[in-house]
Amino acid sequence: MRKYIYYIAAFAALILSSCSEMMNDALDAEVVAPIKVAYKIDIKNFTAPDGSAATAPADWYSNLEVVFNNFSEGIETNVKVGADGVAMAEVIPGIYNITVRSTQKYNGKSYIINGLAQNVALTEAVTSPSDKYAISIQPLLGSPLCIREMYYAGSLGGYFRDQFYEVYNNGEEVVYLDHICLAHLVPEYATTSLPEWPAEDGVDKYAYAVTLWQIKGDGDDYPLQPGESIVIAQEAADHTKIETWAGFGIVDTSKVEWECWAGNEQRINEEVPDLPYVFWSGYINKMQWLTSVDGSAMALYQPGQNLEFGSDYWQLGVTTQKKVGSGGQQYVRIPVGDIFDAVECIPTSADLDMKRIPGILDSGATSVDGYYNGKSVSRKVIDYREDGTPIFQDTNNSTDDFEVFDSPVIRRHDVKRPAWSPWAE
Amino acid sequence: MRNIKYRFASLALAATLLATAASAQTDGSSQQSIERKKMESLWFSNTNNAAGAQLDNMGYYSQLGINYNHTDGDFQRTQLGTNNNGYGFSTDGGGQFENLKGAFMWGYFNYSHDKIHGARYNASLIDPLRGMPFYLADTNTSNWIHQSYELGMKAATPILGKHWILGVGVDYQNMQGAKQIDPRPNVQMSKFVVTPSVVYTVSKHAIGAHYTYSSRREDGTATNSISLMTQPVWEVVAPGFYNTAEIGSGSFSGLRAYNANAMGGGLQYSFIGEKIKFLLSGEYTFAVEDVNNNYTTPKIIGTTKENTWDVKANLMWSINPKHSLFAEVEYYDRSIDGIEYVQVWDNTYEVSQWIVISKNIRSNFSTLRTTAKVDYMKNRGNSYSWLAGIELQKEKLSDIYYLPRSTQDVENLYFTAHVKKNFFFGKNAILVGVNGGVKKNQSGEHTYSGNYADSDIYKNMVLRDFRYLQENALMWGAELGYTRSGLFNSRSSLFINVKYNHVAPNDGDGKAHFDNYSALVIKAGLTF
Repeated sequence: MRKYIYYIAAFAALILSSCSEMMNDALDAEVVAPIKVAYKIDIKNFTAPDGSAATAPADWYSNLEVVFNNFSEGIETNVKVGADGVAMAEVIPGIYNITVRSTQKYNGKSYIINGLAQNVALTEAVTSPSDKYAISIQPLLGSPLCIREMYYAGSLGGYFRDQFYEVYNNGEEVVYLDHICLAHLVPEYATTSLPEWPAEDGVDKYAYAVTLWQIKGDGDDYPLQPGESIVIAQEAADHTKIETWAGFGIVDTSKVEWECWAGNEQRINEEVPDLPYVFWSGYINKMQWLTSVDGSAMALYQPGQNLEFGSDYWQLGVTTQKKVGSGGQQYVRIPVGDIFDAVECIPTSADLDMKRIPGILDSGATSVDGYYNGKSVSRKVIDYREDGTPIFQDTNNSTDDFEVFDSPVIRRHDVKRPAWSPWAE
Repeated sequence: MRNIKYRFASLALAATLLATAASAQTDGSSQQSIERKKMESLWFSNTNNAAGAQLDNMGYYSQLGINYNHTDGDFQRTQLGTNNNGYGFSTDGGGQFENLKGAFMWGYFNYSHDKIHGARYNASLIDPLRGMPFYLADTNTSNWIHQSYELGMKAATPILGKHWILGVGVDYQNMQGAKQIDPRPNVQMSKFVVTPSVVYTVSKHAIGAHYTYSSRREDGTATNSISLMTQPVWEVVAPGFYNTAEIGSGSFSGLRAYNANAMGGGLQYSFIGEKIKFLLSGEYTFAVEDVNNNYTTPKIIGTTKENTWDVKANLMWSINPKHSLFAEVEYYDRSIDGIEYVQVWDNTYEVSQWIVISKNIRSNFSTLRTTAKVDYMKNRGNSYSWLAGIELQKEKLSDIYYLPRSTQDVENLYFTAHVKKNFFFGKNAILVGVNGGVKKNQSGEHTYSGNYADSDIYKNMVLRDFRYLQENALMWGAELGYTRSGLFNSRSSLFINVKYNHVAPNDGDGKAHFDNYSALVIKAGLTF
C-alpha cells in the first residue's frame, strides 16, 4: 500500500518540477501601476550656419515637447521639457519610442531639432536624469530637398514595376541635384531584428545603404528650382498598358526624369535616361531593381562627388561597413549629416518598433498599411508660394509629414517640372 | 491525418468493447436507467476522484450513440457564430468487474464534427470563450470546422485493507479547428489530464483526496491563401485592448502557440446510509498558460494565471423505494489574471532573442457562480417514471483592465424548471419532457478608457457581448424520446431522442437587441 503512495508521490513530484518554473514565473507578477520617468534632453554638437561650433540657445529647451509613444498599446503621452532639460512623464510600464522634434531659428536659419530614443523599456520609476534615459540631439540645418511622394506598395494583383520616387525642392533657393544619390537603406525589409553595426560607428551617426543610384553631373547640370520636382522610376514605362501575370500597373512612368535600369535588355526605355547604380551590395538583380512592397527606408544622400561602382572610393570602415557577425557583405556607410532627407516606410502603422534609421533623420515612419493595395505616401501640403507651388511639411517625422492616398500621382498638387527635363513643355 | 483517424478509430473500438464488456447484468438498460444511475452515483458524477466511484456501487452500464445537432440564431456571444450544425459519435460505459475482484473500470470516447457558421473576431482559438484573452481577431465573418476526439477512463481498486481505495482518471482530447476564410489558421489542440486519487472509508463514512495534473497545447498560424492581399488583424490582449497588425505583411507572425499546465487537488467527504447519501467535495485548480508567437525566436504574448475553486454538496434521499429526492448546492469561483510582458529584442549577434524586462498583471476576468437545484424522481424498476426539478443560479462576471482602467460587471439570475415523464408500453417506452426558465439581469456596468472606442471590434464585439450578457431572456424546451428494450437480449435497448431548446431575449425596454436562439439535438443509439 505504502509503495503505491510513494509511486504516486514521485509521479506528482516529477510533474510538479516540470511546470513549477512556468508557474512560479506567473506567481511573480504583480498588478500594474503607473510609473514616473525623468527623461533628459540634451542638445549637443550644434554648428552655427557659418560652420563654427556654438551653444544651443536656452530658450530652445522651453519650446520642446517630448512624446512618449507606446505603439503596441496606442498610448501617447506628451510632456513639456523643463528649463533643466528634463521631461517628467507618468506612463504605463512598456516599450516606448520617445521623440523630440521642433524647428528653431538661429541667425535667420532654420534648424531641425529631432531626436528619437527607440524601443526604450520603461518599467521602473526614473526619479532623476541619467545617461541611460536621455536623448542627445544634434540640430541639423533644414534641407530644402525632400522626397515628396513614394509609390512602393504595388497594385492589386501583384504588379510592382511602376514604383517611383519623387524628389522635390521645398526651399526658397535653387538646389543642384548633381551627385545626389537615391539610397535604399538597410535593412531592406522592415524587421524588429535590427542588425548590429560595429561599436566604433557610434549611435545614430551613420545610416547604411544597400543600393545607391546617383545623378551624375559637374555640379551645376541639374538645377532644381523651388516648387520643382524630378521623378525616379523603377522602370520608365506606361505601366497602365503593360499586362503581366499580375495584371496591369496603375502608373504611367514613361515620362519621368530617370529610371533605375538594372541591366534587363528587355526593359530598355531609350527615351528616359538611366540612373547608374554606383553601389549595390550583394547579388545584383539585373532583371529589375525593386524595393519592398512592404515599405523600405529611402534617403537622399549627397556624397559631393561622382561615384563609380567598384572603385577604390569604397573602403571598409570609411565609406562602407559590415554588420557584426555577418560575412563579408558590405554596405554604404553614410554620415547622417550628408543626408538631405530620409523617409521610413513600414508594413503597417503599428510596426513602429521596426524603425531602422536614426531618429535624427526621421523620428517617425509612414505606411500604406499592407501591400498590393495601390496606395501611395505623399507629403502633406502646409502652404503655397506666390507662384502657386506647394510647400510641404518636413519635420523629419514621416508619421506626421506624410499622408496616404488611394492612388499614386506624379507631381501631385501642381508641382512643377524642371525646364531641363526631357519632358519639359 | 489518416493514421490519426485510424488510431482514434482503434481507441474508439476499444472503448466500445470496454463499455459493452460491462453489460453482463440482468436488469434492462435504457437511457433513463443510465441517467438515474449517474444521478445516484454521487462520487462518480460530482467529483474527479475515481477511487470514490467504487463507493457508488453503480453496477454496469454501457451506451453508444450518434447525434446530429443544429443551432440557429444570433442570441449568443459574437464569436460563436449564428447557424451551426454538427454530428458526432459517443460511447461510455463500465462499472465494477467481478472477474477483476470488484475493481471499477469505466471509459468513454466521443467524436464530434461541427461546422460553425458566421463566426467573427477570432483567428486563433478553437474555443474563443475558454477564458484566454490573448488571441488574434480578424475582420472577416467566417466559418470554422471543428473536429474533436476525446477519450478517457476511470479506474479504482477494490477496497484494500478494508479501508483504502486507490483510483486514477485519465483523459485525453485532440481537437482541430480550421477557419475557412483568410486569415485562416488550422489550429491543433491536445489535452491530457491525469487524476490519481485515494479514498479512506470507515463504516458509512469516507474521505477522499485527488490530485490533478493537466497539460494542454493549442497552436495554429493564421495565414493567407490569397498571398497578394494582406489581412488586418487585432492582437487582442483584453476586450477592447489590442495592437493592430497585418497578416501577410512584414515579419508579423500569425502564430499563436498556447502552452498550459495545471495542477490541483480536491478533498471529499461522504456519508452513505440506507436512505441518505451525502457528499461534500471541494476542488482547487491552479493553471498557467503561456502564449508565444514564434517557435524559434519566441516572443511571449501573454500569460494567464487561473485560480479555480469549486465546492459542492450533494444529497440523495431515498424516501422510499418509489421516491427519491436529489439536492445540490455549488459554489464556483474562477479568477483569471492576464499577464503582459515588456520585452526588448537583443540583437547581439550571438544572442538574438527577446528578453523579458518586466511583467505585470494587466487584467482580470472573474466568474462567481452559486447554484442550487432540487430534483424529484419517481422510480420505476431501474429507471424512472417521473423526473422533475428546479434550479436557481446566480452568476457574476467581473472583468477589469487595470491601466487604462476599464471594467465590466454583469450579474444575472437564472431560474429553470424541468419535468420528464416516461410512458411504458410493454417493451416500448416514450419519454416526454418540457423545460422552461428565465434569465433576469440584476446589474450591468461597462466602462472603457481605452483608445479604440470607435473601432469595429469594440463596437461590434465587446459592446455587443456586454449587451448579450445583460439581456433578460426566456427559455423553453421540449424533449421526446422513444426506447425499444429487449432488442438483442433482455438488457439491450434502442433509443432515439429529440431535444429542442429555445431562448428568446426579453428586454424590459421592449427593444430586443438580438434575435432568438434555438438548438436541436437528435440522438440515436443503443444501451446495454
